[in-house]
Amino acid sequence: MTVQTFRLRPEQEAIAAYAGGLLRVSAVPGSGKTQTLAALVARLLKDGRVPPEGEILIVTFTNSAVDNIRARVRGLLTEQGALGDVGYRVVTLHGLAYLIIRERPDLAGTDPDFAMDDEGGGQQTLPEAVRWYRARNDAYWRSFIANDTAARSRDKAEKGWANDTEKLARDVIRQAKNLRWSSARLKAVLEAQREPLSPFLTMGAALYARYEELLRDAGRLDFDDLIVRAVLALDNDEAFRQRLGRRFAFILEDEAQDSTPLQEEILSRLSRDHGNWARVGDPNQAIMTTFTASSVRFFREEFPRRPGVRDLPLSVSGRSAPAIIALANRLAAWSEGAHPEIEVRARALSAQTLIRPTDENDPQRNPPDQPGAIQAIAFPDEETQAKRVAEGALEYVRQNPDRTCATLAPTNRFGQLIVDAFEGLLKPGEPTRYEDHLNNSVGVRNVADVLASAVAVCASPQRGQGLSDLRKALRALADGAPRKPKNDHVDTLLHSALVERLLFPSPLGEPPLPGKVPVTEPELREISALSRRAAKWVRASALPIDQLLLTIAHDTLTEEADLAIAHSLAVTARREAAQNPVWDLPQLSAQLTDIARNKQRYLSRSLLESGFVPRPGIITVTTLHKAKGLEWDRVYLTCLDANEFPHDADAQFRGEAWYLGGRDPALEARVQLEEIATALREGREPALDARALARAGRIEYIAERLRLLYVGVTRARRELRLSYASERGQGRGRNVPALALADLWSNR
Amino acid sequence: MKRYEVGHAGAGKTTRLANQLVAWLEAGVRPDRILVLTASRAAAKTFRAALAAAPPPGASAARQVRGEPTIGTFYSLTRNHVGVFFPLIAGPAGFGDVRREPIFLDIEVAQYLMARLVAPQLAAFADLNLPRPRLLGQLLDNAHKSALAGFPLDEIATRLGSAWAGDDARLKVYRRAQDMAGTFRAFCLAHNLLDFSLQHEVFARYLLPEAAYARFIADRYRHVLVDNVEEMPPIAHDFVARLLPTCEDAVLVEDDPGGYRLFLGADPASARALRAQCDGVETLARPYEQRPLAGFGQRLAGAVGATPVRRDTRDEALRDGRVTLLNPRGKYWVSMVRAVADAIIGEVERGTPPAEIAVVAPYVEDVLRFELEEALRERGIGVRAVRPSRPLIDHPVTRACVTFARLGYPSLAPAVSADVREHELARALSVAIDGLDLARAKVIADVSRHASSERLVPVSDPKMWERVGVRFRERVDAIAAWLEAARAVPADDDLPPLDVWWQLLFGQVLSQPGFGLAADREAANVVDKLVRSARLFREAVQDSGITARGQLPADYLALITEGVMAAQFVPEGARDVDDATSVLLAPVYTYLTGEHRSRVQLWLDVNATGWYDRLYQALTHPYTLTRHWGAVLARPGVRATWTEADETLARQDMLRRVVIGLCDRCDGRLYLASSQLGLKGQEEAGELARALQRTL
Repeated sequence: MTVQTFRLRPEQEAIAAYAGGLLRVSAVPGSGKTQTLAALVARLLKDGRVPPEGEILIVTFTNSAVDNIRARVRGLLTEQGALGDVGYRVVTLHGLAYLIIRERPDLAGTDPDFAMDDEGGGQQTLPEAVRWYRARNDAYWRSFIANDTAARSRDKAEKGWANDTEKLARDVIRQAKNLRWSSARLKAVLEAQREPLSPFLTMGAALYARYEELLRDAGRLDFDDLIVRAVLALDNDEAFRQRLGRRFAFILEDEAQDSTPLQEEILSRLSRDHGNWARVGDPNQAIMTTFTASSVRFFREEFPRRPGVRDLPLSVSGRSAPAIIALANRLAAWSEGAHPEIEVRARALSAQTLIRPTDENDPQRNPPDQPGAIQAIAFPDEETQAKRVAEGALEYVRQNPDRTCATLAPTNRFGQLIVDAFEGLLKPGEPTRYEDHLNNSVGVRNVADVLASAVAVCASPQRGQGLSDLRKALRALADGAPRKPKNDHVDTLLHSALVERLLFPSPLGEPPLPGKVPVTEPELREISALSRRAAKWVRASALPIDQLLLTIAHDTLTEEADLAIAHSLAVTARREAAQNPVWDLPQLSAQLTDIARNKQRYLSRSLLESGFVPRPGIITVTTLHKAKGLEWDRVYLTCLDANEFPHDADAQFRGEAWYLGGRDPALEARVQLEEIATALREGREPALDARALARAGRIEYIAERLRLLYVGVTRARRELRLSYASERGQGRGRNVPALALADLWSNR
Repeated sequence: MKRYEVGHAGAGKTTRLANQLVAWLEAGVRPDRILVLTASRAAAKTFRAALAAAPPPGASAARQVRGEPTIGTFYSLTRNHVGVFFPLIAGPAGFGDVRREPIFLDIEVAQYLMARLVAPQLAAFADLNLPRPRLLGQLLDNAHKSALAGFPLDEIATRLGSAWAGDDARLKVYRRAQDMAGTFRAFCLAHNLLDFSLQHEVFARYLLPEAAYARFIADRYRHVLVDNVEEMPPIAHDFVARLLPTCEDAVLVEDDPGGYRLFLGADPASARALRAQCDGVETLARPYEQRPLAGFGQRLAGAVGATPVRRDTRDEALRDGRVTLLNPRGKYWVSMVRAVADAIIGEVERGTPPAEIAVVAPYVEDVLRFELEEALRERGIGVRAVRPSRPLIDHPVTRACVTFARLGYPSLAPAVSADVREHELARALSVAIDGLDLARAKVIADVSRHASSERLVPVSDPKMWERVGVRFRERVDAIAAWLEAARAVPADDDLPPLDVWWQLLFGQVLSQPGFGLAADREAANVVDKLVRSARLFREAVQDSGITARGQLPADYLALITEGVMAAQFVPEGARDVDDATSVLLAPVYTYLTGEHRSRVQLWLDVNATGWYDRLYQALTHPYTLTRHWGAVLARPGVRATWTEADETLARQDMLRRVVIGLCDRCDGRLYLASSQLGLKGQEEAGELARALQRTL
């Protein structure tokens, strides 16, 4: 859909006519909310509603959304003959917090040159805090591992518990920060409790204290600190808050369902004086709640109760075929009206705004219904499921090279099974028909590979292997395909070359290449061009690490998305280097290589974030979480069993570890902390009954998994393939389909 | 006759001052009766150069040959005089041992001592996200500001509190900060140590009021020239105010706009108070048509903080090519730097001499210098970076010295030398040996570390030498042999201290022909700085009882490896030599406070908030720790607060001064370069960018 042909639907028109005040928009998937938002911005500017000293602040969740919205607003404004970049500003919530702190770091109580400890590849601080804790409390820490754990499983149990400890720390820290509690405050609150606390919560508090210390010593802030300190800065100087409030005369918030309560505090403070705050989101797609501390409740229930809030729907969507829309709506209606756990009904999906297909005159008509558009299949076991899903998807793209297709798994582990299945199914000589986007996308891996090889050359400039690897990485990047391991003649030459003579020809003119091997003129030219580039990087190798990476990136990358990845890797590298004085080029190269080989995750929350666009004829293999914001013609939703998508708060859950006697430390600590905080707010004694609290946690989990399912269903344009495996494997018993969709299987 | 002259940059004031200096000499004034006070060491150089270029004494009959004029900064003057008059004031000022020589500290040592002293109390600052060196730096800065403005240390907390509108907890933190400044002061007094703040405090409170000193300066400084008086702190103005009634002639010169050293204690308002003591105030200006960008500068300054107007026409300067936008739609920072390099090449091709081109940016990062150097090298254009003082360790020569110390200095633990990685050794060798590139150095380092993980041993691998070039063998062997001999020193008594050790290494090896530091003035400067810093550290710390003697070398290495941020107060380092084939690269404030003008200026990162932000530090404040603010606080009945509105006005005022000051120093064309994202990937739209939007 181009900007020029876009005409607003009546619902969109009503929103674009917004002229101020509090507004909530519930937007269904595919309803064109970004475009509507852009139209709204253009309208406000055109109608002169923005005071001259102010601007419109558009806040969204991801960097790619920032680019997307900006491009659209710019397009609309230029079309109207106005300056493209004046009068508005698009940022992520973290970007906004950064901006506020940068403005007055003294008010935020931080160094002006603070560095970010983000969640990108190789976050070090948290594991370091855990190591520190374990080194001091080893026996205590081990005592949590269930006594009946067989000796041979102990290693596995310890490993699992170590991972859980990290997760526990992450969750407790995040939650405490969202309460704006420092580790000292948390400690004091916990010590004041009369009832016995979960040992996991106390452990989490100890980890928080150490984590805080590590960050402070390095002058770093993590993402949650950004938000906390931005609120602090606004609270510490009322005149400062007022000035920013005047500057951001209108606040438009996209993806509002994913904002955390504390993030909302920022926007609420900024809009306090003028009250111009429009929030657009889909409460049914809030799937970040257990990752971030977002709470869909605020957007769904509390915000609309504020006086004067107008509520408008964006319910028309041209994305999916009517049958798929009907399934999504049915899911919402069942969840709200008939879920067996009463508490889930109000928390999971809302049927208030159901999806409606477009009408006849709409430029974006829904794809037509076709027979068998939705199929539900039960496979005997996981392996069969993976294999058959891979076969089906492959068949689909072979026959429909112009259509897009994705297999979405709830876990990376199962996604990997599908990838493995593809390996055996491709015919000899057949082009690659799938892309593995489970951990790092091909784009991320290729960029990391180029940077890793270039840094390796800097670290060991005398190795011929280094130049040859660099050359292969550059080629893979140019082809947009995985690196080819095979050596050609130039590689052979590079391997036998005296590379230092290639990089830095000596005045004596000593020959760099062995005399006996024949070499052609074009080969020589290629080698010399490559050497010149590499020599520059070797000269640059005394630069700070992030600056070295940027120099390399801008010498090698041209694509926007690739540069964005490189910039993000550079930020990660700077942080690592600041943390670890002996960290040098070889370590950097090794870490980038891990990312390139998918051993280490370079985190992006969604594929959309890394600039991904589905390609026709190529199957996207990824997870449900990462699929947010994207659409494919045919979508495979896998593992739709009652284990992955539970409905019974009294049943055993996935996160609950066998080696801990079925306990889920992070959940236990989180729920208890929330109860303590709520009780403190309400001036009562907390009810710390472990069972009740655990149950409450499970209810949240059930609700979030339902929303995840909803996101999955609404990714499909034409066809949906739903599946699960009836055997859980490794003798762990039988599976039943997720209750929400169970009738699809039983009716068959 | 006492004159006060004020004018814009480039109006010819400094030239007039230099001419005045020469004229006095011509007229027979005794040279040693002349004082020339400058705001920077660079400016002092200008006057020395004028002196050197003046006709020799014989040429003019009246000219006398007695002594030399005193030319220097206020800092060098106070240091000199406090040193000379120390016996006179040590007792009253409360120093522990009045018969012993005082030791003047540099910032590294001051931070080290501060760290040792306050380590147990740092928990008081737990709510602030400040890395330790920054925290310590701010604690010291408060003392500096108190000394330069002339208020007691125990006003720090109240003054800081007067700019705080938030949570009361911060007020307690200010109190602790004040206490720590006091603890440090007491320690310095007890051990005859003078840090930057105590040097100035002692000067202002004990030396200046001393009758003997008053007689001395009245006799000595009969003819006084003060350049850039607006860039000096109030206690310097106090000093000048003492001189004015007694001296015969004086010329005081003020740049307007100025006050760019606000964060170093500069106080234009207190400078202006000196006008009353002069016989007249003269305003100087160059004709408007000789200042091609002055009009643009005024318009741009006028747009700072103004309500935006939608413009129908583009600014005339943009239309007629005096102002050009670079990379205006570009997203990335590196692309901006490359566009800047292209613009420079274009200018040089059109005949602008490189030395007439200046790149100014809010921050000068290493990569900026590197990228420009790489892009310009092929065209034979160099880059001359002028930067304010930076951590010693940032220089490759320092790093090489540290590496060699780790490999060869005897009293360090063996683990220290075993921890030197091949890569580090390769870097050190390539710095130490002339013509040795990193790739060949790495080959040598690999073989050497393989042969011994604890030492640098001579390598006898003929194949390797054939590969990298036998010409390097002798040099590597020489370094190895020197280190080996150094390690062999047996008794503790014969062991030269680290500073002497480095001096020997430099003198006996690294500065010899064929080695990397031979005939390299910059390198020699760096080594000199390192040696002096290490010596000072040893002298200041060894008798203070705060650290065991044997621990000193290791502590010193750790200290500089940590990269202590040289504080803003440290006098600027020696500048690189002027070079006709190089473009200048400087941070905005360094450019403005140095003696610079250019035919072409390129402003980098015009979107960056760095053009507008002052350094917001949680524990110190540039406006409330001033003399002026003391007067505000003293007003009866009003509770003075530095508010957000004051802050905004002050920032806007400073940005206006920066914009006009830069344009006044540009004689031809101006390029404005920007990128959507900054170097660290952040998106910024600072006040300068907004003002530009309104102007262009």
